[in-house]
Formats: sequence, structure tokens, C-alpha cells
Amino acid sequence: MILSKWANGYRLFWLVTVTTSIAVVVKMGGLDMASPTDISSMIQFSVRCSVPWLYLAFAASSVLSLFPGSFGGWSKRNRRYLGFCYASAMAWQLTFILMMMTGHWTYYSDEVYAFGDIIVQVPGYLFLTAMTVTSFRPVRQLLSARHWNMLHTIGIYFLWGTVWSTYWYELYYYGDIQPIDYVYYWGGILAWGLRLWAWARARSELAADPLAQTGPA
Amino acid sequence: MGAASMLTGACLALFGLVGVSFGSLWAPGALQFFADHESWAQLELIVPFLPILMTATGVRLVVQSRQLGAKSRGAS
Repeated sequence: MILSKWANGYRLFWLVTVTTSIAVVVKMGGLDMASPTDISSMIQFSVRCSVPWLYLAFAASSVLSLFPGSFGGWSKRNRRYLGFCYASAMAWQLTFILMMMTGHWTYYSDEVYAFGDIIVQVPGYLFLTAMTVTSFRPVRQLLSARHWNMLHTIGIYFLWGTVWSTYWYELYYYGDIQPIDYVYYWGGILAWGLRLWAWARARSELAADPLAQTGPA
Repeated sequence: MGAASMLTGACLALFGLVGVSFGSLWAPGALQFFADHESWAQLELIVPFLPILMTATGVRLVVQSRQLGAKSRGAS
């Protein structure tokens, strides 16, 4: 399978990052980047490029425990790099948000800004930055295993919740529904459902094996 | 007790899944409710997660009651 042979580690990261960047630049070429509405559509486009990598990273370990196979192994092995792919695509989004804020503040505050968005976006970027930085060994070593796990568990749930709820609002609040909104809404549910299923199965297996619960005497 | 807990959990999970699948039936009303009550307005952020929380709680109840059942079978 090509995934397990070629697209691994930093090679996967660069493949995705270069492809995403080319797509962003090509899309920008067809738009007027002096126009706030076009910058707004680039914000949306860069998020759409990032979402699959977040969902894959979110579900990676669950996929492996539920379906031990080459895809499960690949996604678990590359979970860190899937996270980097998400972070690199989100860097484009941050770039466009900053372009909007610096060049079109009035439009941003009138048309785009919402207090609820800020509540979610700022911690989201803080989590993403902290998770990315602590994915490198020298920084990771500064945290205990417990704190690292806590940061990455809370962080990935927060990021998933932020992204998934965006598509929930697209479907059930804004009304300007596009087919991709359904894909990302149900993709998010699938990723979360896999985690729930894996958790429930692990708990059930633990209950069925009393030795595993009590540990060796 | 175990059976009641399992049934409650299954119902919660089912309602949650219905909520996830048919958001258009309940979401506008829920969002309007929070919009009408200004002091609760920021709680609007949790509205999308209500069916998710219901499903997770339901699955947790089912798993817990199965664990209790397995424990009591092991003890007897």
C-alpha cells in the first residue's frame, strides 16, 4: 500500500504542506486579495484544507485499536505528522485572518468578528501552538508524561469541537449550506464516534478480563 | 438497577444520535432559547454538543452497567 510505503513522517508532512500551499496560492491567484470578501473566502478555503488532517489525527489511535491493519497502523504511526499537516494548513488561515485584521479592520469588526468566535479561536490557536511545540522532543521533555497527555487530550478535543461545531452552525444556523459542510460535519461525527467506540470496547474488554483490572499479584 | 441503568443509557445514546442526525428539528429552537435569555447567551456555544454529550453519557452508562454485570457474575 502506497500510504505505508511512501507517505510517512516528514515526507508525508511536506507532501501535504506543499500541496496545500500550492492549492492556496492557485486559489489566491484567482481572487482579489485587496478585497475583504475574497480574503474571507481564503480563510474558509484554508480551514477546508486543514480539517481532514485534524480528523485523521483525532481518530488515529482508535482506528488502530478497532481495525488493526495497514491504514490503522499508518495513521497511528503518523499521528504526530498528521497534526503537523493540520497546523501548517491552519498557519495559512492565521495569515489570512491577520491580513483581514490589519488591512480591513472595519469590515472584520462589522462582518466577521463575533465575541463567540474569539472565545473559541484564541484558545484554539494557543492549544495548537502548544501541541505543535511540545511534539518536538526537547520541549516535550520539559513536561511530565501526565501533563503532556493532558495537554494533547484536552487540546485535540478542543480543536475537534471548534472545527466540528463550525460545520454544525453552517448546517443548522447560517443556512448557506454547501455539500462540503455535510462531509465535514459527518466526518467529525465519525472521528468522534470511533473514539467513543474504541473507549467502550476497551472498557468492556477490561471488565471481561478481571486479571487486567487487578493487575498481577 | 443494572438493567434500568442500561436501558437509560441506551435511550440517552439513541436520543443523542437522533439529535446529531436531525439537528434541524431542535437546533433553531435551542439557539433561540439562549438568544432570548441574555444572561445565558454565551452558553449558546454548548448547544451543538448537547447530543454529543447525551450519546457519550448514554454509552458510558451502558458500559458501566455491563461492567457491574460482569463483576457480579464474577463474584457469584
